[in-house]
Amino acid sequence: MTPRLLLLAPLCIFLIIGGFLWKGLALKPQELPSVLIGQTAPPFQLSTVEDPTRHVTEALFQGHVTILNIWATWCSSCQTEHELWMQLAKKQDALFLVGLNYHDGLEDAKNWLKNLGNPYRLTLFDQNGRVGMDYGVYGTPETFIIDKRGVIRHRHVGPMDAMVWQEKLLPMIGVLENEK
Amino acid sequence: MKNEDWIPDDTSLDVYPFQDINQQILFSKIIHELRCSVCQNQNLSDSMAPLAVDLRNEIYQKVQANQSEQQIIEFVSSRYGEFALYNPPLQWNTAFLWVGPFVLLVIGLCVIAHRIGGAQSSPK
Repeated sequence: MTPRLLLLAPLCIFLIIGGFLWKGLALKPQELPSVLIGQTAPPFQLSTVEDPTRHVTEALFQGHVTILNIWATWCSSCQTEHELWMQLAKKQDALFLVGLNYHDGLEDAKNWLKNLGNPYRLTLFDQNGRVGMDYGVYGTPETFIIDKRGVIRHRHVGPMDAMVWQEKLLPMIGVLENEK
Repeated sequence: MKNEDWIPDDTSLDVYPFQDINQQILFSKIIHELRCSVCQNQNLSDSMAPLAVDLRNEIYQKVQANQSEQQIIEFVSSRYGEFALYNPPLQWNTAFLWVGPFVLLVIGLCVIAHRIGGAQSSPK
């Protein structure tokens, strides 16, 4: 290497390091990819907030595209998100929106649905968060899209916003609806 | 690392009594090696996040039930991903992490050798 070219070495090193740092700025470590994408939804047996005597299993997900929304009364961003689910449930009758109440109290959950409205077909009651653990839930709210065969296809971490719903999830649900 | 290094210096073990010292060491080792997904700069041992508490309880039961370290790590990583492992496995997407430092070392040695060689062959 000629000495003249060698003078460019610090610039090259700067560009390489700069490139990594630049990319690092765009990373969102809070949004972890779900390891369950493409896998059958983990089995469970839970009662519902509406009816403690009812037992529901993962068979619930068969035959239609399910939106599984994980929420808790102690989670403030769940409340923010709740309004959107209420609007969507009113607008789209066909939406199979299932709630999963995570790490919560039955009375608290009942009151929440009574006071804020209930957009869900039913709400699974995961009192100790054990089913949430099987689904890799690490923060609420989280939203899973599950296809007709009961396979997890997508996970959204954090409150659902109208833009993401409209531009990303709704088209995805449309595609999944057309699958066999 | 020596086993003694894992003997508790934290309070978390007070609520997780073990009959068997080996199980206690294993439990402590695992919760130090796993990362809390909620508070991402803490391991499961340090974190007071509810999820970390749940996972500690779950791991405690599994250690009590004589599950192996590998089984327990697999339980967590199949749910929370490799992100949860502070000690990442050697595979294609982590290869750079493992090999990178040695590559840099070799490059450095080559540069030094080149310079020394150059200095000797062309004295001022």
